[in-house]
Formats: sequence, structure tokens, C-alpha cells
Amino acid sequence: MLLEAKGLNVRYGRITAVKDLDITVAEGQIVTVLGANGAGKSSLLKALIGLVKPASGHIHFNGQDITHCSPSERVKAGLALVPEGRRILISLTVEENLLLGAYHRHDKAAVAREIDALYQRFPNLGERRYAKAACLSGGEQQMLAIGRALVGAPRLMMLDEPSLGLSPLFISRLFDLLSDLNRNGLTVLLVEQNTGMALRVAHACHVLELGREITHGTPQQLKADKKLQEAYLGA
Amino acid sequence: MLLLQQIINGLMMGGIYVLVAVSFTLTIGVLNFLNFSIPGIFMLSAIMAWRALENGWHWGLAIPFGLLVAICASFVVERFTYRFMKNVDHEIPLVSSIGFLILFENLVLVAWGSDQQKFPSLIPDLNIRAGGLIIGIGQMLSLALALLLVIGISLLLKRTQLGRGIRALAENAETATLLGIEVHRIVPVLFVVTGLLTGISGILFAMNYQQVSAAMGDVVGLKGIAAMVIGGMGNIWGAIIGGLLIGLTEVLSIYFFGADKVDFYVYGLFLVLIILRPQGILGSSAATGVKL
Ligand SMILES: Nc1ncnc2c1ncn2[C@@H]1O[C@H](COP(=O)(O)OP(=O)(O)OP(=O)(O)O)[C@@H](O)[C@H]1O
Ligand SMILES: [Mg+2]
Repeated sequence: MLLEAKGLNVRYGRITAVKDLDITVAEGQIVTVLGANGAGKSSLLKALIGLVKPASGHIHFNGQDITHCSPSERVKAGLALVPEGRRILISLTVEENLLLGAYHRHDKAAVAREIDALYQRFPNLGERRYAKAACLSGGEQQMLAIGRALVGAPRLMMLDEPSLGLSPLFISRLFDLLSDLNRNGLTVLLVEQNTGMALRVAHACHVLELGREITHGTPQQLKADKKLQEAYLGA
Repeated sequence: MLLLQQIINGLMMGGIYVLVAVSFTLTIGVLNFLNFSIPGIFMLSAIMAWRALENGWHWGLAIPFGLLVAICASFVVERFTYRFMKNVDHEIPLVSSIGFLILFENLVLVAWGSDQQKFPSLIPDLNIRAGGLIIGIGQMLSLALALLLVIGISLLLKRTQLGRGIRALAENAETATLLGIEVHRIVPVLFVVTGLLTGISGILFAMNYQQVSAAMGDVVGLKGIAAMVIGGMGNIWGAIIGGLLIGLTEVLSIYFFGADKVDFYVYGLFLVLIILRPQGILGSSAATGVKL
């Protein structure tokens, strides 16, 4: 297993945002976490990247116990998070945002090559490389956020509701991109409320409700579950 | 000609305000923390260099010693104000940094009294005379040094990975953290840099005026804050403009209206500018979040 979290609990004061969660992500997979607002999806990803300390539980990544590692150590180990709301640094240029994605890398030449390759892939970013990131559209900002994570050469990319606020056209481009990256070897942990799209690309799926996992399985299994479909997946 | 001479003097004086204003603006811009201990650090470096000189040290040792004390003092302020209190209301580190200002000044008062002390002249009293203008070498050096330092810092912020990390931290600490930027390593670096800048400005001040005292930081500190606000809080180029503008206003109001009305005109200008442009000359409105 590339990522393995066991018995994870996240609390904010008296609120329990994630309760006794077990989740595993195998190398090469796309695993998706679904759930309504407030289900604890972002809290899970924040605990995995180290932005919040879990109240209890263990996190192993790539065979190493990272439960007590700082975010910076986790990024160095190969984790990357594309956060909810993209969190582009708007006072910096597009290129500076990408360079910050490689903050922990010291192979400057390789980073420069990879950034050039990204500009080929996303010509909109290439054209605006020296412009402030504030001037990008929502879709372009999401591409920049994903590009920023990719430049860090992660082994596992976590995305928090990347489709939020995007047009249907951009959403389908986004999921095509994720499948494509996955085919090229990137492992993905995807938090979504866009259930249909997420189930189309995922290999495995977890459904959260109020911090607890209510079910998990393959997309086929979940789609077959009529009750679940009606109650949570809004089909 | 005399007016031109005054303008030159004002710019030179402004160099010192520039350094102090940049120190203030760095901690405001990155940490949203108004570090009130800066005038104390300004004074400490000059006083310690003076003590070392009095004890017969060569200036080549006395000045680095003063700067080292300034850096250490700034580091101590970081440990006891910002570090423990970043999770509380940001008035609290501000108040405790005022505490450090009072502490530094009173330590010096207890040790060496409140009198003005003579700081020996280190730079020979050389002047360049050009077409009737007199430009003091010492003043010119301090303006050049101030501008070089600020340009250096601005390049560091723009061109290096550390600089980009600092600017990321300035915009959003959580985003910086999740990108793997180690906030707890960058913050001490920032305090060392502001301690050094403040220390340099204190020693330049002592060299140009040839006197030091426990309270020497207060007036300069206030003008440094005014310079920062006029230029736009958190904006380095704004701090340069603000510092030079205050230096100019000071000498020109002495020239036109007499020495007793300086503060009236300096702070009058400050008020007028604040009313006309609350975000400062180069400051942007908070909405765009652009800093440094
Ligand atoms: N910093 C915080 N302090 C206190 N409570 C929080 C904090 N962050 C989240 N919570 C609470 O924890 C619970 C889970 O929040 P979380 O953001 O993880 O949910 P989510 O599944 O990401 O929701 P959404 O789909 O709206 O993004 C919610 O009840 C929320 O109010
Ligand atoms: Mg969320």
C-alpha cells in the first residue's frame, strides 16, 4: 500500500470531524472519498498532509510511519495536496506559483524542464507565466493548482473538490486530465461531491457521513447499491 | 543652491528612515505583526557599538559587535513574542514587543544613564564639493548602503526560492505550509534580517549624529512607522519612498519654517497623505492581497 491510514480521528475542540477512519490507497489507483458538506472530507486530507494533527490513529506512507511528520517532511516524502478552493497565491506570478510547488526540490534544471512541459500541456498558463496568478480564470487557477502539485513530483496527489465552481466543459477536461495522469503512473486520492464524475474515474470509493465511513467498495458495487444511490449519491 | 543642498541632506537623512521602515514593513507584510521592539534594537546596536569603542575596541570590531547584539535581541523578541503567540489575537505580540522596547531602554538606562553620549567620529570629516554643494562622505555612504541593502532584500524576495517562500507565507500561511514551506524556519530568518537592518540603521545614525542615548530609537522609530504607512504597509518600495519623503520634509521644514516646527510639518504631511490615500502611496487595497 502506498498510503495507509488506520483508526484516524480528527477533532476540533468538541467537534469530531473524522471518526475511526481506515483508508488505504494502492500504488497506481484513483481512490475517491465522497460525502456531503461537513462530512469530514477536507479534515481527512488536512490530516494526511499534516495541516491538522489527528487526535489518534496512524498514517503510513510508502512504508514509513508519517503520523508525526511535519507537512514539509510529508511533501518531501511524496505527498501533495491540491486544496479546496485552489489556494493559488494571487500576489505571485503563475511561474512563481509553479516554482513554489517544487520548493523541496533542488534539481533546478529538471524543474525548469517540467514547468516547460506543463506550459505545453496548458498553453493558457504558458501565455500568462509572468502575469499575477490573480488574473487567471477559475478553471485556469485549478489547472495552476494541479500543475503546482505536479511540479513537486509527488507519488500521491490528493485533490479536494477540484471540480467545485468549474463549468461542465472544464470539469470533463479536469477528469480527463486526472485519468491521463493516473495512466502515466500517478496515484490519486480524490475528494469530490461530483459523484458521477468521481465514480467514472475511480478504482475504489469511500463514502463518509458526519465523519464516519458508511460504506466503501468499487464504483460498480456502489452504483449497484440502490439505497445508497438515493440517499447519498444523488443519482 | 542652498535649497538643493537641503534636498541632498534630506535624502541622506531619509536613508536611515528607509532602513527602519523596511524593518517594520517586513514583519508587518509577512507576519502581520507590528514589531514595536525595533526602536529598542536600533538603540541597542548603537549603544553597544559605543560601549565597545569606549573600551578601546577597533571600529572594525565594535560595529559588528553592535550588529550582533541587534540580531540576538531581535531573535529573543521572536522567541518570546511571535513564536508563542501566533495563535492568539495579534494585539498580544504587539503589546509584548512594546514590553521589549521598554525593557531594552531601561536596561540601558540602568547601565549607562539617560544622558546623550558622544559617539566618536569614525569617518574622517571628508566632503565632496561639487558646484557649490557639499556632500558629506559619511552621509553619502549611509544613503548608498541603505539603498543597496533594500535593493538586495527586494532581489532576494523576487529571485530566490527562500524569497518566494517568504512571499507565499506573507499571502497565506496555511497554503505556504501545505506546499512544504517551513514557516518555523523562515520566521527566525526574517527576524535576523530585520534585526540586522535595524542595527545597521542605528549605527549609521550614531555615526552621522555622533551621539547616542537610551531614547534615541523613539523618534526615529515613530518616523520609520510613519514612513512605512505613507509608502504602503508591507511594501518595500513604499518604505523607500516614505523614508526619503520624511527625510526631505524634515530638512525642508527646517529650512523654510525653522527647527522648532519640524514635527508639525512631518506629521502634518503624514496625516494629509493618510487621509488622501489610506492604503499608502504604493499600497494596494487589501482585496488584491499583494504584498512585499
Ligand atoms: N478549523 C475548524 N475548526 C472547527 N471546526 C471545524 C474546522 N474545520 C472543519 N470543522 C468542522 O468539522 C466538520 C467537517 O468539516 P470538513 O471541512 O472536513 O468537511 P467537508 O466534508 O470537507 O465539507 P465540505 O464539503 O463543505 O468542504 C464540520 O462540522 C466543520 O464545521
Ligand atoms: Mg471540504
